[in-house]
Amino acid sequence: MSKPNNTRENSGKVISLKQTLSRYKQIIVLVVLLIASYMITPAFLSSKNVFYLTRIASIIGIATLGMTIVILTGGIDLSIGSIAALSCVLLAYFEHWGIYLGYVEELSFIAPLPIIYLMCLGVGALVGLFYGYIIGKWNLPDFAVTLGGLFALKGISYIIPGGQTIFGVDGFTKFLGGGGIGIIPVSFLIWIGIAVFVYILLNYTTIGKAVYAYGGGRDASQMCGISPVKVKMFAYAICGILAAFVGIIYAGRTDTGDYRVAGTDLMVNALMATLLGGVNIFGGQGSIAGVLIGSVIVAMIFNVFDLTGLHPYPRDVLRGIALIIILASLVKGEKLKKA
Amino acid sequence: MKAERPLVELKNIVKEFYGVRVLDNVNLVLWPGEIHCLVGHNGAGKTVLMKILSGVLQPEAGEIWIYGKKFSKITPRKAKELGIFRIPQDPELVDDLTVAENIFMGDLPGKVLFNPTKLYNDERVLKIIDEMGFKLDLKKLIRDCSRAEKQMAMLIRGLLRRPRVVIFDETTAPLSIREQRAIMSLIKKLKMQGVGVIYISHRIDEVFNIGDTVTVLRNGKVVVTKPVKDLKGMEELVYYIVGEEIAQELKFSRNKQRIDEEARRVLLKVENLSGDMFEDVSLNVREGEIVGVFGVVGSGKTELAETIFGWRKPKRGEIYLRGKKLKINSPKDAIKARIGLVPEERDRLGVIQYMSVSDNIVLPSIARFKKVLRTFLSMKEIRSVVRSLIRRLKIVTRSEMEQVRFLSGGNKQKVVLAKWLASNCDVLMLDEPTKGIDIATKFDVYRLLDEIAREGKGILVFSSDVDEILMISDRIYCMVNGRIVREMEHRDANRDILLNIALGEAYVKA
Amino acid sequence: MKKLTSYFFIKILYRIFRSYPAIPFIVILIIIAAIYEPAFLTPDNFRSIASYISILGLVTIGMTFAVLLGMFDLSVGGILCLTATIYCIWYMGYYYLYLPGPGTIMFVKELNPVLPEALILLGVLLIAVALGLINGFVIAHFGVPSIVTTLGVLILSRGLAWTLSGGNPLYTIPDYIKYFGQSTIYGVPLTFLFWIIILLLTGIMLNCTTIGRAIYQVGGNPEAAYAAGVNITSTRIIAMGISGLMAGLAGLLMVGRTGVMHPHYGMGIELDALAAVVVGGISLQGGKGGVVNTLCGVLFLGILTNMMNLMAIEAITQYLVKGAFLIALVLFERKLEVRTG
Repeated sequence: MSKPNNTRENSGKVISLKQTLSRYKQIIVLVVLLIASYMITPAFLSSKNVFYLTRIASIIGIATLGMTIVILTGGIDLSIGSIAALSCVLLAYFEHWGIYLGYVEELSFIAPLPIIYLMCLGVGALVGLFYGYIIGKWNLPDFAVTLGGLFALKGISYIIPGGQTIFGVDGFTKFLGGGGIGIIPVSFLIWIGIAVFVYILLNYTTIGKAVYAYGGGRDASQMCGISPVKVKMFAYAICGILAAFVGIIYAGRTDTGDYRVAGTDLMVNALMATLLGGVNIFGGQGSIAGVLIGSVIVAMIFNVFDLTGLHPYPRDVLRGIALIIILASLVKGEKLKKA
Repeated sequence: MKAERPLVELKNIVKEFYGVRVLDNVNLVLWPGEIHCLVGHNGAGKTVLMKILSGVLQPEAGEIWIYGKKFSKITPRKAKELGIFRIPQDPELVDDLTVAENIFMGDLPGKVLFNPTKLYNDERVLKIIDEMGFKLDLKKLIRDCSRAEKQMAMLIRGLLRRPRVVIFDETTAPLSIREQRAIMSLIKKLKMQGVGVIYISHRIDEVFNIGDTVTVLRNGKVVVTKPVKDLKGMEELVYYIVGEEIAQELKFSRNKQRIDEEARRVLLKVENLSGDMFEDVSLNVREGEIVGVFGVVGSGKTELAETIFGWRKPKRGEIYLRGKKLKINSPKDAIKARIGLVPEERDRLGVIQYMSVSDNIVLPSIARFKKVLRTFLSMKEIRSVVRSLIRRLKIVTRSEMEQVRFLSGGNKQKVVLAKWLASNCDVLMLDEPTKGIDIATKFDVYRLLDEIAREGKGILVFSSDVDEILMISDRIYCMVNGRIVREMEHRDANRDILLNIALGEAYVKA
Repeated sequence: MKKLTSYFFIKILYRIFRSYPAIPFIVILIIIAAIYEPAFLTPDNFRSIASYISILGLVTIGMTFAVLLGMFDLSVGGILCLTATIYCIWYMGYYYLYLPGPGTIMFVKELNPVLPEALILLGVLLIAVALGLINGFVIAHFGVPSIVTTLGVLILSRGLAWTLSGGNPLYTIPDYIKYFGQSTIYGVPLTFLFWIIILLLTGIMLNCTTIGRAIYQVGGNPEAAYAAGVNITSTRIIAMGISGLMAGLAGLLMVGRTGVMHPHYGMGIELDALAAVVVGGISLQGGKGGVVNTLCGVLFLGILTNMMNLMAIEAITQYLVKGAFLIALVLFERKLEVRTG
């Protein structure tokens, strides 16, 4: 009995000796890139850069985890950049409550800091729940809805502070964004924590199984009682929360609240990391370990661009080409799945 | 017949889907002016073979010789150029275009530009409609057409370009008697013109009516190819289709142990249920009973099963479980009511291909595995339940973590059954449960159904396989054209009676 | 007698509204605009609307081709930008090229624009078509979903455009294009007439050519079309190529109209085009819809944008309106379908 030779990873199961084939592929790419980067710029492996690289990887990584869940359900979220931007603006706005939006000696919180965080994350969750509900209930095209969201949320982020940039956020947020414990950035610890959490969610809960089921077979999963609405709401809500979290980190790093901190760049990076992590663009297949490595790979590329001083514009050209090549090479084997 | 080249020669055709062999070294020869019937059970591979001949599918191995020239691969367009035309079972039409546009699909008059109105008064089309005595409105949108009209459109498309080989795949099913007769005379006319015809049908009487040669397929292999005149009547043909083993196993244990049914309570009751393809259906299933619903392809039984399960919306009617009225709006409701369905379309609806065997089995009942802190799944428990089911059903798989798509058809079906066993449903419905499954697994399934019934569950089997229905049912309903026309106890039923009811006068005539 | 004619009249109106749901919306929009903004009903404003519509309209025609096949083209904005940029750069005689190194070094290369006008025009449009064909090839041959493919091309082309222009606005636009972009005949902008002609050609193509019908066949039921011998791969590739061409034309018209090439041209136009397609009544699943739908959709969006401009709503705020609008549209399209379908 002949089997198709592209051994796709088992849904949800990471610790299995069998799928090491795919896993090796990613690690090899990682190692090759590491060596290549070092050869291009020796500064790559300096301790300062490793810290910086890890921080970037964490930011991309957190967003990627959210994007992964959504893609596993067979959807996509084009608006995560705008959600992050909104969250960033909201954080700064809530800390300048009723006062001047520029640099001030003392910030004015609308509520204690944890509540502010909750509110920002809550907005991300609400956006996600909204997406998930309408997409799940009426089977709307994911990309159209999130495309609308991309622009709408960008608009909202602009309007809230009246088109101005808000300067200055609190110290704890700045610590989250840029600080480190020893040589490890805080955001890295957060990223790993979230990764573990998402892993448990996907593999050890009923909703996690439902995500893989729905992505792996829409009709068949509904025949088993899976509710598309619940699955989509869950996926987009988590994605929204994680995107909002990235927004908070951005606020901390840039010490501002501005709608321009995050945009399609974040979304494309997260998308590439997800794909490189072995997640099937059509849904139903992929694992967390893979996307962790994928995030690191994308971060490394980004980092090398920075170090070599490559201008943002040509970066985009390379990014676009890379995305297309990755997609073309990954999807070829999956053509069987979709008519 | 003159000594000449055959029109078509299929040599050693092998076709695999997801590693499962659906055609195993199939050979078929078609001569000009020959009407070659292709028969076999549901899922034997007849349509797949014809799809390969018409270029829609590519074989893994084998040769296709057409008019003496060898091809290793054909595309649909090449097949069309060669004059091969297939009229499929399910019409392949575009809903939002008119009948005329569909007829001319792929064949528009003019290379680049053309005059759209020409489509509606094309002489050839009008001639065919006239000759066949069809009533067809060329301007109608396909989505507004009846099944018969759609079939007619497909037919005209095929005849338009003077084909040399025509494949009829279950063409007569949705047509009225008069239209069927028109098809038969059309086929005879094609024969006289030297066109080669491959005719696929479930109706054995049609084979004897117009066939010159018959090839029987079973589980992807050719059982026999014989001139029709050499057959000693229908029994011989049935024997080839159904196989020797079944003939011996017909004395299935189920028939012997008949326990007093009257004392059993009614589990599932369906009252006056009407839906898309069925009207006013009433039936019931008692505890410990296996009820069979017998009907040919297109009789509405799949739609009925899917409606009871909540996958389709009913127009009217009620469903009761243990006397309580149920409101089933989705499969989730049905599952909550402890009803399960093993659907006909195994690959699309029965299993989730890219998920593991284990995940497939526990999915509907996943909530009961929330043991860790009442939220998280206990992998240990899942593993033990899954493994015991794999053992019980003898599912052949490398491990429970293997993706279902690598399993054979029979084992996939076992996974679906295991799924419902794990969810501990009270009523289990099965639609064409042994379609495309090997003999050994077939009997595993029957034995399992027997066991389940004995545990007090109710089983509802929908099937077009008359022997299967006779073998396992305690009670039988006959479904024709969307209605239940007869109900009978097992002791009152036999093959002739059932086939007679299902096929109507056509059967009696032969 | 009178009753009969009015009944007949209503029946026709009903039929029109059912097929082209955008029409009542357009009427409502015009009424609202007329009430709130006195400047709306001036010939100058109409000219401005017509001008904008011609550009958005071209892109929307391209998007229509894609959507009829069940695909989406997110890259139109980028192709528009790149086409216009390369065009202007050719006349400028030099472009930027960023190379990595210790810090950013900009190389400025000289070009010699001594080629016939027509050739340059053709060349630039060819690039636009090529990008569209790349989209089509990756989608049709590799089976990559159109959303992500066109996303990649969007980033690529916009990035390339900004690289070449250095992110600066460009002013070297030949006169004949400016003439084309800004002149009017009897008060109607030439660009608008141009668009109407293209629209008519598209209509003819969709109804009277093999490839046009093939688009409906492949969009309506790809398996059936395949079995009937239609070449679905080349149909899809050609459709995306046309979309690219339209985007390129739109880019040229844009610089002709304004006389300057700003790097942000084309930003967000994919949103407008998609909204126009949906509001006009073209089903996102493919196989249904025609040029009249496109016309309605573009009219609606053109008037909406114009209204917001008159009310001095900034571009970014307009995003909010249009984004929310798209979501609402998609929602109602589906709900409508469910009810009637």
